[in-house]
Amino acid sequence: MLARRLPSILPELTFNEALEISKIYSIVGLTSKETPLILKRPFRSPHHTITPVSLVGGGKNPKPGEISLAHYGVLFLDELPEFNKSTLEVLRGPLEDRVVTISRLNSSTTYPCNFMLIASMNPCPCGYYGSKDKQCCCKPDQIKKYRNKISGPLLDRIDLHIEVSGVEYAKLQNNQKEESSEAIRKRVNKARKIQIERYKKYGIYSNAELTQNLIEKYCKLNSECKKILEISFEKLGLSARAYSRILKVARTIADLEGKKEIAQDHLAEAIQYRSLDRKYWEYSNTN
Amino acid sequence: MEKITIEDEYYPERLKNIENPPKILYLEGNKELLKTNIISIVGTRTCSQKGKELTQKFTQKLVKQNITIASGLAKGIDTIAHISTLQNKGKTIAVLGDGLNKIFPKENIDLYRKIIENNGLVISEYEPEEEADSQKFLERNRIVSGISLGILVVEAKYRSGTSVTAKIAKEQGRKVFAIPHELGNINGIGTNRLIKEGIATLVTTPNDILENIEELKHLAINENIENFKEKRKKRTKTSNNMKNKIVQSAKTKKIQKYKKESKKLIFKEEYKEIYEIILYKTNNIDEIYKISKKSIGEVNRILLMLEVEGYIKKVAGGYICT
Repeated sequence: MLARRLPSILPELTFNEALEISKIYSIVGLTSKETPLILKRPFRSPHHTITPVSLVGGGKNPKPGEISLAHYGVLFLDELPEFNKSTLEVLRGPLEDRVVTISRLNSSTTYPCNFMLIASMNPCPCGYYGSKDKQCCCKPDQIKKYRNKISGPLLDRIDLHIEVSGVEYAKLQNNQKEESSEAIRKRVNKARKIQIERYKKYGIYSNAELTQNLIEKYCKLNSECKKILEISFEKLGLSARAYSRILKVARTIADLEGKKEIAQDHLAEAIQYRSLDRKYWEYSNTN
Repeated sequence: MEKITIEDEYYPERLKNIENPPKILYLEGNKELLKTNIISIVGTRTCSQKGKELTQKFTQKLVKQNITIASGLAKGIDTIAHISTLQNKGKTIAVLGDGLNKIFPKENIDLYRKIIENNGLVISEYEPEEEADSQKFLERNRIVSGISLGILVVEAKYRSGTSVTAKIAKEQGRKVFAIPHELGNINGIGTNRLIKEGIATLVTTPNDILENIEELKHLAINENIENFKEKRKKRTKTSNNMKNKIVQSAKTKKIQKYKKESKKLIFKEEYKEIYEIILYKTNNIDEIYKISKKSIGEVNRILLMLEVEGYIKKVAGGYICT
């Protein structure tokens, strides 16, 4: 439910982005005379029975798959562990490179796929592990098996892990005012503008696309931040791949607050978001 | 591997007195353990997460009192009991229902090696090459209870071998202990029934076990006297709102203890505040934000620092104090 609301806070498309998306959509035949240009960020949520080929693209004459159709938009995978393992593993390369090259007998094509991956899953097969209200009835083995369906390398490529507790009925009913999507979108747009301005020279739009060199240039840490990062890596058992990703997320949090430098709070928040790949989730250590 | 007969000096005295003691025992590892105080921990092979945590908690406390933990090297509770004994650097005995060269289940071959490496003991009454079958496991259970002073049942289902073991143990004159579970919990039907039928003594803390065994009573009593002394001290100090103050002093004591343990992180006001919220109020992250009325970034920084320094721990559902 939460993920489906996401398009309402995504930043507006720039003209160049809109053109690129429209090109991909016209290949598949999803544009028409009435709507020649796609003006909204795409939101794709394929069912978990999807095959690897329809996810990354393919066919005799390679056509773009779901990941390319989600270019500059969102690819939402609901119930992540239900997907075939082979289907999920094909995402690894594209998530890193942001392009996918499909080679077939007739031709070889490279499609862009700069998408935001969002996935959801339960903590265990029954869904109540760690819940206050109900007792989980899963055996440790089952939980381990369920979690193992998502490989470490894939998890490494996901920047934000958030645990959501169940919502009580009373809370669903009460109409307490939370921040509206419109207000959030304004903040997002502001942060996006900062980023577009900052990376004008490099032809990229966002922090996510930063290369190693640019990370060193734009995600500088002061000595206190470096200290936090160092002890967190040591004590929390984060992976090496997580390093640059934490920096990018910290940069984005700072941008959202309109700050020029990454402060301790920003960095700590970014580290806190990587909860799934920390040591304690490893089930195997005691059983 | 070693073979001892019923006449051997290492053959446990307690085991001789059961109805049909094994004539021969095959041993591998540290045989001195047979002369120590042994408590066995048994339970279902398909245990729940809660059962796992309970097993770990009880094992840890018993190991601290220098008690040897025996179990059957089966899946589930048995495995967890063995592993957490080893993790706490305790002594453990595994009693097999098959030959020493035919470990079952196969997943536990690693554990078998670890037990021997860590000065533990593995015993079996069967020839080394004999295969496992269900009858042997039932027979094995009489040795598990036979060598021990008492037996603790953590989780047992409606129809389970664990309940049978408990009954055999009772017939042998061993103390049987069971942890109660809430009604409707399928892993608790067996233990609750054992308590209902008067076979098992209900225990809620590891200390209950010590108190109920003649040979181990001294370990438990010590703890009690200390508690009593402490309470008396507090009682003389406090008068009207006694309860309140005891809670208060426990609070400050706990914090003082933590202060001592870590020199790195000085217990600043803001850390203390969040720590106390987790300790007394909630472990849910959203609620911590709400109660503390701090910004998300600030709370995150504090949580991270507390976690890195080992004051709190992240578990499913939120944070807990360690």
